[in-house]
Amino acid sequence: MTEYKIIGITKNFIASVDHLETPYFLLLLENDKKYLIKKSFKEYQIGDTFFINENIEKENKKNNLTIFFFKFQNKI
Amino acid sequence: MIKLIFGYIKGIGRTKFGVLDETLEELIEIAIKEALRDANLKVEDIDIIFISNFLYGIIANQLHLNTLLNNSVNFVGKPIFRTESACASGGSAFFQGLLSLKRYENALIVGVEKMTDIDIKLITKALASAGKIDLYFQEGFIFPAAFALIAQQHMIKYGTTREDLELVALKNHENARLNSFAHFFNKQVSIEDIRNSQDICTPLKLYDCSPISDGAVAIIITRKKSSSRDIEVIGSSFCTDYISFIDRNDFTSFTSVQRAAAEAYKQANINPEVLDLIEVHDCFTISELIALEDLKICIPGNSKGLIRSGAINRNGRIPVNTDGGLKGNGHPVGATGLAQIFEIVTQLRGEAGERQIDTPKLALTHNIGGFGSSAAIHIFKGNK
Repeated sequence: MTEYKIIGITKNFIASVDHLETPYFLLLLENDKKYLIKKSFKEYQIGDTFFINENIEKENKKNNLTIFFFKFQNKI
Repeated sequence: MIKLIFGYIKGIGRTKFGVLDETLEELIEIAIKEALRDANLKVEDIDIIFISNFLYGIIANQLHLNTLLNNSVNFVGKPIFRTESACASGGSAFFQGLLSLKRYENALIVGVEKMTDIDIKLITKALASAGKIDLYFQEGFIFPAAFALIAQQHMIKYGTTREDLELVALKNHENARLNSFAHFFNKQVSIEDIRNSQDICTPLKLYDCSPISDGAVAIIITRKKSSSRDIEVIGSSFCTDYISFIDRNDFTSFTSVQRAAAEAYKQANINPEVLDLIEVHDCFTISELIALEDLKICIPGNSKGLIRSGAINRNGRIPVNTDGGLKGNGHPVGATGLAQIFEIVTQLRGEAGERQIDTPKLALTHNIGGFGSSAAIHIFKGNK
């Protein structure tokens, strides 16, 4: 598990073909100059931290899946 | 220092930008015929053609535009190439057109996009292909969101405010109001309209975003100057960066722009202070402010001072986006970079009418693709 810090947040109101439910948040995450973008329906604050399992992420990316583990955490 | 010769702009033509009834082929035809008329040339005088387009393959399932172009104007038998670098497709095509003058006498560059008859949800997805598409599919990362995060980082780092972005939108709509070709020609926009507009991706609102537009622009370039209306190109550079937003080290500047600008200034043998006029790629209002910093018009973080003081207004020290920019003129992606050149040529010839600035001599265009993943910088010298 790797700890990431939220350094940016935008609340998106624009729907697209594959993301019809809005609004949703897009989080800019940072860990030691490594960045990630994550979608969330839960609101966070800049400076919040949380953990990402990078092994699951790699596997999901390979299979072109969304990151279930992360989203499950967000909806708690 | 050896003076580099890039070429001269001999003819320009364009359609109005906006929600248009014409087909893609008809838009191309109008722009090319107007450019030929302006250059006083015939189809037979053109040796090579470049067509700039980003989206038609995705949204209309039609590629091979280099040959489709012959349906608009008959160039059968001549070399025609399609150029695509997302929103920098126009600048990229112009760059390649200049390179072709080493072999050919006259080149024509045409940029076109037909976007408004497609569902906005599809357009949003199609535009996301200018970035790494995985981030769109997996996370719903779309372009307004990227520039919203960029704006937020700029605000945190430099103290840029929402009010600064509103002033950029206001200025560009003021300029577009006087441009009969512009998407928002004659549209009166107040600071209250901008401030009260709907949220798109916080902190960006509707008036921070350039519109979805149809339109076409054509430019004819030539190896030798033959008229006092010909405008010389004295700098031409194109640089790239990683395609993915998250592969950057800095979200408040674009390395590709900084490098391309440095190279173009060196070619032109000028410093940014001597420029009289600039057209920058304000796909979102924050993009205009970052462009001014990347182009070294001011130091990083100080672009807010330029918009607050009025220095980049039409009557300011260094007017920016006198045609309304992407924000007010419109953003038919494949045509955008060439529309910037159209405005520069119009101003340098002294033919901009009500929005004409005082005797400009040196001007620059800044056209980016993606999150600054591609950057085309061109510098022009007028005859006045």
